[in-house]
Amino acid sequence: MIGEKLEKAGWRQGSLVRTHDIGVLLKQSSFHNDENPIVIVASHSCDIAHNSLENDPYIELSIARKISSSNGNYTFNKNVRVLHTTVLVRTETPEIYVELFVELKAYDKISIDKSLLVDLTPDPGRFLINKELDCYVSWLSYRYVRPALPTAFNDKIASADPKGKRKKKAKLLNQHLSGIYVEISPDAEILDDQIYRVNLLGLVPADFNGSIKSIESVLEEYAEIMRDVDMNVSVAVKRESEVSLATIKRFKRFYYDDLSLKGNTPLPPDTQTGI
Amino acid sequence: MGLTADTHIDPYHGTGSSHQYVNPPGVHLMLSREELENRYGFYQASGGALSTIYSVTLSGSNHIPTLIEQQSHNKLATTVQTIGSVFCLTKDELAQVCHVQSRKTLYNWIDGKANPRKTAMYRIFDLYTIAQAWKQAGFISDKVALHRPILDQLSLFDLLVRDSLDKELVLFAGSRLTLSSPTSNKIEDPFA
Repeated sequence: MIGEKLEKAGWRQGSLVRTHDIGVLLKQSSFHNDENPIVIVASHSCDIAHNSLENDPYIELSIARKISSSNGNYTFNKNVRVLHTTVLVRTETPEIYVELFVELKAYDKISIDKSLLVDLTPDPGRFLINKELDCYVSWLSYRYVRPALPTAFNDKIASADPKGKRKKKAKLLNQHLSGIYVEISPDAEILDDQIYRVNLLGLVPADFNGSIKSIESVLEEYAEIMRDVDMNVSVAVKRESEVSLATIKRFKRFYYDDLSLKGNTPLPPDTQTGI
Repeated sequence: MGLTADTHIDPYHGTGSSHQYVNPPGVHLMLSREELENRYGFYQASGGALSTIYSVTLSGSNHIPTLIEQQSHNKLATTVQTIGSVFCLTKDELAQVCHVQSRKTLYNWIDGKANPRKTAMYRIFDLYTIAQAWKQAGFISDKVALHRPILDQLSLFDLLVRDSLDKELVLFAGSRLTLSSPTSNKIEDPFA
């Protein structure tokens, strides 16, 4: 039973393929000439363990690339198309581990026959774990499911910063935020004589021990963009462990790079095509 | 090791590894332990991951309080200390969790005098990833919680000393510990 074999071999969502096995898996793909790619299993663990090849014959893999350091604008799923994350590499030296920074692009994925993994085992020394794994999995799903904000809301923000200069400045300060969320009122299209009220919530990781005040000033950069188009904005920054589920359920994640605009001019691409 | 000095700090509270000072330090020098011992007399607090050493240098009638912090630049030491601090382990308990014979072995690792065997390194790696997940989840950790039976009469400490570490079980215990603790602070709506 193929699913059982793969599960016993340790294959799970987030498993990394051993370096010397990558060539075989990517042979028929457009990534076969990529230099030293990192290959991560994207399929859900239950789908990997599913025994029926008729129902589930393929495993999806993400193709990642090594980078020298993470860009804070691409960590914690802040960008729906690009993810920067950290692979922990267990060493056999007293260092115990080293960190490998990798970049993933949403469209750099392939599907392979499940049978290709049967005789292989995941990399025993490299791991995508804990919050990094959670973020990767969430990021995968955001390709298809994202919160929608009113077009009028998005258009107003875009009009406040048509060349994106202020957004660029705000993003430079973005490093520690794990997410920006908005609660808007009304959560609907508005008439010309109406305004939006916005609760702008910035979250930092539960173990963040830096200055919350400095993060608030980052969020104020975003708030000012909104205030310039007459939005009534209130700002708060909290650790993830300090916000109740009841509160967060009222909010939608805010992806500044991915506003759906009414205008005809497309946003400039924020990633280069990798293929 | 480091020397941190400021003329406007509180007197050292000789209570162990905790200390406070009012203003950010004005001087920061890196000294070897031998230089530190030769130049300054010191009191070293025991326990905890951070050693705090305090001495008074005299200049005429002016007493200049000097606060010295030991900084670890050994990654193995930092990793081991993270495990200890996240789970509130004493050095003895940390030795048990790391499956080493004694505190001395741990100190030798921390001081860079010895390196762990491969099996020990793998265990430290696994403990470290569990500690990181624990922190990221915002779980509570204190001495009482460490030894309280939480899963089938097993405490968190019991789970951490097991030969085979079950990360998911440890995190499950963390979740149960956190949920079963009294909520001391209501989580307020930040926009209320």
